[in-house]
Amino acid sequence: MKPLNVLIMEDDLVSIEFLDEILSGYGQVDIAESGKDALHAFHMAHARSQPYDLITLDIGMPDISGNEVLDKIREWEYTKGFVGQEEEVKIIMVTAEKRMKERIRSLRKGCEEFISKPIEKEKIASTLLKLGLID
Amino acid sequence: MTQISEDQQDQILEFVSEITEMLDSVEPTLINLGSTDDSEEIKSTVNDIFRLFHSMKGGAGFLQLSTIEKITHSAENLLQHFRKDPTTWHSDYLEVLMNSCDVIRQMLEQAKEEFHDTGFEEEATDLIAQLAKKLKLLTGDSGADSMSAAPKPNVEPAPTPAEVVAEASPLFDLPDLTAPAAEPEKKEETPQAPASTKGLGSFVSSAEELLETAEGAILVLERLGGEVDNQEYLHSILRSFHTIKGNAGFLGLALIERLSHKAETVLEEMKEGKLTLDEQSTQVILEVIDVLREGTVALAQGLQCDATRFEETETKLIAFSANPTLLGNIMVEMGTVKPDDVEEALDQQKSSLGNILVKMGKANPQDVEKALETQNTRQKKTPAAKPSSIKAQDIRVGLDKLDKLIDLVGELVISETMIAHHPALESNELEDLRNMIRQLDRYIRELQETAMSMRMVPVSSVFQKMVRVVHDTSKKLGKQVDLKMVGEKTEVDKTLVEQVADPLLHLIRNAVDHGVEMPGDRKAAGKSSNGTIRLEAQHVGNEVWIIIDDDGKGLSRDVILGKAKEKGMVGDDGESLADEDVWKLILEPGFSTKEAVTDLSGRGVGMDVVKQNIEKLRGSISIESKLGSGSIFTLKIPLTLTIIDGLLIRVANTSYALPTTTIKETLQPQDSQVTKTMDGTEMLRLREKMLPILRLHTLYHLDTKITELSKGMILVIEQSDQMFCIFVDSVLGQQQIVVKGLPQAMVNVPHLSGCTILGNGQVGLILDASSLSKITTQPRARG
Repeated sequence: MKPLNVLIMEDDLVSIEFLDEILSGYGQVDIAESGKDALHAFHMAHARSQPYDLITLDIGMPDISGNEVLDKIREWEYTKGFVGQEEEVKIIMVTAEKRMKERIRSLRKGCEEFISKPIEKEKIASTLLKLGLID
Repeated sequence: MTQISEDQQDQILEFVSEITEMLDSVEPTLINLGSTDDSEEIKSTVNDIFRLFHSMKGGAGFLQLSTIEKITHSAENLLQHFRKDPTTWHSDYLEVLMNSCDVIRQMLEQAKEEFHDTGFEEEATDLIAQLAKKLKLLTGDSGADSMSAAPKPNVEPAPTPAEVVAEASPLFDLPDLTAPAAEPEKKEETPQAPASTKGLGSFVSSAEELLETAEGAILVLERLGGEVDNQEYLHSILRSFHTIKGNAGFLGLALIERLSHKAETVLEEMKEGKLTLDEQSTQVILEVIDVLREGTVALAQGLQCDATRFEETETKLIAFSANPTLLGNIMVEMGTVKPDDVEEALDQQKSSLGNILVKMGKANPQDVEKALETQNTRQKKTPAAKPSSIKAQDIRVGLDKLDKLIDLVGELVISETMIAHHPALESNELEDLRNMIRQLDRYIRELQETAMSMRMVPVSSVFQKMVRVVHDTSKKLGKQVDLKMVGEKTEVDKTLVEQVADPLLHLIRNAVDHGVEMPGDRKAAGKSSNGTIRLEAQHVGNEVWIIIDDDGKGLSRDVILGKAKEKGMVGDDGESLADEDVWKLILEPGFSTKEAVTDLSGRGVGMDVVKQNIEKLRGSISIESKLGSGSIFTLKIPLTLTIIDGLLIRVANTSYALPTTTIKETLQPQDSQVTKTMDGTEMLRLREKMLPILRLHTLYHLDTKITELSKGMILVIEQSDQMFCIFVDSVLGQQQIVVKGLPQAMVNVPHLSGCTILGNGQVGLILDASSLSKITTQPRARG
């Protein structure tokens, strides 16, 4: 498998370190500490023709929430005609929220999977496997 | 029906209400699709509908509503095709999607009442077959599409529904939307082998997760058997085995299916109280988990399961669960005897015991008859009595509504204080009114407490996670560690529980890694080879304290000081620091614990991040440690984040407030108590201690008449084990204050944590004691 291009959006320093350490094992990792930075990074990556294979979004962010970022990314991809194509990035929501309601909302906005906090290494690996990002 | 936890029920209800709402909004657009040929509309609607089914699948998978999951999975596959290429859409496909929505609605109705979706297998099978057929039409006979529920190549007529289900919807084939085609040729393999490697991969990863859940639950029961709801944990283990059994059966993995089935049976008996979970049985179940894990790992590597290993474990399971009823069952299974024979034999066995008693003259026949009757009725009663215990007296309320309520109560408290302190009430004639207001005040306080308690949840959810953390970390390091949990039922604000999870995880890992020694070292030091970590939560005043206490080797003053000197964090005078100040060094940024004491197996997050996270919650960390006998980390966090007990103070014309928990005492100083140090800092001598004095009016450049210390008041503050004094004009009194955020214009004013509206309508500024404490510890340049 080729190394993955990964973007982590997260404002909690502990989680950043965890995710960074784990995901660095699979490829190149960028970190955005705000929703604004994440969207910027996402567009820049497309501009450089090196789009992300995977984005992890923390639901609770100080500026733009994870769900909103998710929405914006999917909306943009839609206008670009990436829907259902290979260009569609895989998105995992990272959350301490266990309520079904929130999960359904994120699923509807178009995320692929969930990872609960506290983050566990094994869970990430199995999720990447499910998404076909690693084998 | 198996028992479902309350939490699970809540989740299912939420799922049903969200999905119903979504169906209501998406279905009409689906109908419109039948009559439009606007490509843009098709594209966007198809995408919406795809998302709808994707959400249903995700939620249903999480809740183990497997029938819904299977249907939505097939529908998703079909829709993914239109999503990729909207031009392939045709209104012919409408009907099957509408039918799917209808059947799902029926299942949702049922799930709302009964919390499961079984009983619709026939409809589901039919739908899945139709969906698969439609997809086949789209993709042609090649079966090359990855998501396709491709029926067997070269089989022309429509396969029977059962066949299609078996191939089209491997339970664990999770959304893999862009994966390249699966290998169609694999479909030819024997039924013993899994239908596709992809399904197998998903099976392996899900089985691993399930085994982990089961193992976690066993560990909890082993340690805390008496303190937790055993039924719930047993049920979760049982469910894990049950799911593995189902999926293994689906993929034709006979060995795994059989062993997990046996394990499920044993767990069922434990739930019914026929067997007890003792050390021996725990061991056997753990062995089952290990063997299943080895099996799945072997499968993942394309190897065969070790059949002898499976059989051995199976024998152990049977051996230890062998009671007469079971023996009967086994013999029936073996085909040696018929079920009726066993019943009869059992009847005889009972009556013979009666007979023997009669013969011995210990009982008369009538008594035996009566006893047998009672026995029969009792056996019948037990299972029937169970379900009634599920019903709980509660009602679900949205968090936003609750927050609104708490906000309103906060405003009510403010208004009430404003009325109670109104100058017009001072007059003597209003004694009656004042009494009424006092009564109103009591009720409002009670209302406030009740409202706050609604957001409270026990810390046990976070504590439970630590069991596994300790288990894993200690196993990895070859240490033996017991985790003792105290005060799990302590309730704290919901948001606080979430935010404290990460720091706690880190501290616990540290305790196992740095605190507890290797078994050999412990023995050599005269301790028991098992280390103990105590995790405790308790309410202290307005705070919740979370204590992590290990009996390990303790912090080493020399190592920490050495490291700090090397990093330039302390000068040569470090030796004179008190122990507490040395321990605090490990919380400073730049002091990485990773290199400091051992090579941390953990994630290399500095303790400073933990400290930051706790300070975000307006909390503090204190450390006690004794070399050789262990360390205690105490997290002290304010219980509620919105209402605090505050002491109101005044400087010039401005009112300030401080949380009363930080104030040790207030006093009017005498000149003889005050001395000045060389650099001009004023110090207050208080019972053998010299405390620095911080003049609030100088800090905020306020013009006040009271500048002589003996004319004003001194507050003695204790924050993070540091003591210092604040000099103010006067103390106004104590009251509950509602913390509000600072207005934009004041965000940059230093040492404030928020503001509040006072009884007289004025704004009071809430001082941040921890930030003030930093001024007094840092050497200052003085003008």
